[in-house]
Amino acid sequence: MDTIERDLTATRREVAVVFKKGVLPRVNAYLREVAPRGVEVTVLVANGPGWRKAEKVDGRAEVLSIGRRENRQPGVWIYMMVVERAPRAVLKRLEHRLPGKAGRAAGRARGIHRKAAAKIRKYVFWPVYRPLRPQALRRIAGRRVEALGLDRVDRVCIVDEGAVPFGWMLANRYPDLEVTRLLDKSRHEDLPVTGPTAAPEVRAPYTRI
Amino acid sequence: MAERRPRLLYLAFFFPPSRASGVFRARATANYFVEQGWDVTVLRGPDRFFDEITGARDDAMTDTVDPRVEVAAPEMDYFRWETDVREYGRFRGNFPGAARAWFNWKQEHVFPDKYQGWGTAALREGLRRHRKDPFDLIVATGNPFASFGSAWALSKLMRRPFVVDYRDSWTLDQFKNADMFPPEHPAWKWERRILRSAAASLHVNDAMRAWHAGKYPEAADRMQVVLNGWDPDVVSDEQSSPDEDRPLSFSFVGTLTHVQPIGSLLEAYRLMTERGDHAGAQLDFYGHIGFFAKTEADLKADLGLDKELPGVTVRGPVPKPAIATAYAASDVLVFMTGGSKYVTTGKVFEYMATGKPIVSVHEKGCAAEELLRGYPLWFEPASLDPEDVAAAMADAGDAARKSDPDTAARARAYAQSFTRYAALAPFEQWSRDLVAKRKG
Repeated sequence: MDTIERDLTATRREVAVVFKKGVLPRVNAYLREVAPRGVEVTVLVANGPGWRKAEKVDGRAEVLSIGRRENRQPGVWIYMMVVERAPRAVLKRLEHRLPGKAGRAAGRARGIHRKAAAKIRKYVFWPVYRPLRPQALRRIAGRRVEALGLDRVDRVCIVDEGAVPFGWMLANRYPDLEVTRLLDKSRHEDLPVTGPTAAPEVRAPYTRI
Repeated sequence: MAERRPRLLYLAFFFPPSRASGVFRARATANYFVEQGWDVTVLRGPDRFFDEITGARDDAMTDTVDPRVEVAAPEMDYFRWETDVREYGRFRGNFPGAARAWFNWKQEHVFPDKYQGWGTAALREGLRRHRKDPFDLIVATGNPFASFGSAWALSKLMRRPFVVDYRDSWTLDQFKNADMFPPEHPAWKWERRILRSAAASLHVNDAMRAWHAGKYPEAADRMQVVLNGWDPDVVSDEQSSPDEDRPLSFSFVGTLTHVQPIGSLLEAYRLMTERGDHAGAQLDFYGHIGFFAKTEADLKADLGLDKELPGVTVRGPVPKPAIATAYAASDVLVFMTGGSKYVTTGKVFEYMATGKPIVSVHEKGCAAEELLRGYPLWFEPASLDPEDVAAAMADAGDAARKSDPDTAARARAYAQSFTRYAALAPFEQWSRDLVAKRKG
C-alpha cells in the first residue's frame, strides 16, 4: 500500500475526476470560484465516446485526458470501427467519387447508415458499455495515477458516479488521501481572490496521459 | 407489589442532541410521559448524522431531557449523504450504479423514505428491547416517516397499539397546499396502510387533521389535534420593559429558510427607518440559517443577508437554553413564516409566551393566525407588501414603547394556555386509558 507525504504549506491542489460530460458545468462553476483564489485544480477527464459535443473545461485548470486510451479499448475500438467509422468513411468516399445515380445511392445509404448507427449506439452500444465503463476507466486511470501527482494533492473530488470505482481504488491505495464526492468551494473561502476572475481561453487539446 | 409503570417506545429520529426544529415536540413528549409515570424509551438518530450530515448538534439540549428517559441511537445507512468515498462498501465502491439501483428499488418496494436504513435498525432495536421488557404503546413522530413504517411493523410483530405523530405532513406539501407525490407513488399506499392500523394519528392543527381526514376517511375518527406549545424552561415569562433611550430591537428568532418572505421584511424595515418611525431601530436575526450547516453560506447569500445592511444584524444561533436572553433583548418579535393554512410553527407559541408585541410577516390564511387572533399584542399587516408590513412594524414598535403592563399581562395570560405540557395532557390521558383498556 502506498503512502503520500504532503507539503502542507504549499499551494492548495486538488484533482477533480470527471468521467461523465454532464457534470462539466458544475466543475466549471467550481473552477470559476476557486481558481481566482489560487487553488490549482487538475481535471482528469475520460473524453472518449459521446464527448464530441461536451462543454470544454475552464482554461485555468490543467486537464489530463484518458479519452484516447478509452477509445483504444478493443471492444470500443471494434464497435467504433466496424459500426461507425469504416462504413461512414467508405460511403462518404463513394458518394463523392461515384458519378450520377450510384453516387446519389451512396449518399442515401450514408444517411441511412447515420441514422442506423445512432440507433445502434443508443440501444445497443451504450446499454452494454455504460455499466462496464466505470470499471474500464478505473483500470485505465489506475495505471496512470503518477501523472496526477497525488503526492502534492490535498484531495481528490470524484465528481460523477462513474468515477467512483477509480476513487474507491485511490482511497484504498492511498490511506492518507482524502477522496470525496463533494466539490466544496466553501473550503477555500478563506483565501483572498488574487487571480483574474474572467476565464482565459480554453486550452485545447487536453494533455493525453 | 408496586403496579408496573406503562412502557412507551418512542421513535423520534430528531431528538436531542439534534437541534432540528422538531426536537422540542419530541423532547416534551418524552419528558411529559416520564413525568406522568411512564417508562419511556426513545430511539433517535445516530450522533454521526447530527455531527457530520446536518452539522446541527446542540449538546446543551441533551441536558434538558429527563434523565429517566432511556435513549438509544440505532445506526443507519448513509447512502444518500455519504460523501467520503473511503466509507463506501465494496459493492458501492466497485458498482456504484448497481448500488444506486438497489437503493432506489428498496425505496420503491420496501419503504419510500431515504431514512429507511434507520427505520430498519429502529425496528430491530425496538424488538430486542421488547423481548427483554415488553412495551405497552409505540409512538412514532415524523419526519422522517421511516419511523411510521417501523412503528407499523413493530405493532404487527409486538401486537401493541401504535400512534403516529405528524409533526410535519408526509404527503401534503404544507407550503404549496398540494400533494407532495404523484398518485402512483408508494408513499400513498403506505400512509393509507399505516393510518388504517394506527390507534391514533396526531396533527399539529385542525387544518392538517381535516386534510388527512378527507384523504383517509376510514381513519378520520382516530385523528387528534395535539398543538405545539412553548417550553417554560426555554422562555421566561418575566416581563422586561424597554429602556426609553435605547433604540428598539425588532427580532426574528428561529431558523431562516427559503420559504420565508424575508425580502418583504428587509424592505419594510428599510421603509420604516427611512421614514423616521422608530429611528435607529435594529432588525436582528437570531438562529440558524437553514437546517444544514453545509448549505448555510449559499442560503445566506440567497436570502440577501451576506452583505452588510444598515441596522440589520445576523446574530447567529443561540443555544435553546439561552434563548430567553435573545427574547429579553428584543422589543418586537417578527413572526415570519412561509405559512399556509397548514403551517402553525412551534415558534408562535414561544413568541406569545414573551408577552411582547408580535408583527406577522406571512401570507394571509396561515394556521398560526387562529392562535394569534386572541393575542392582544398582535400586529397583522394588510398584505405582504413592504408598505403594509412597515406600517404594522411601526405600530408594533409604538406598542413596545408604550409598554402597557395590563396588556402585556393579558398577553402572557393568554399564552399560558399554550404550554407544551398543556397540549400533551389530553393525549397522555388518552394513551393511559388505551393501555389500561387493553390490559383489561
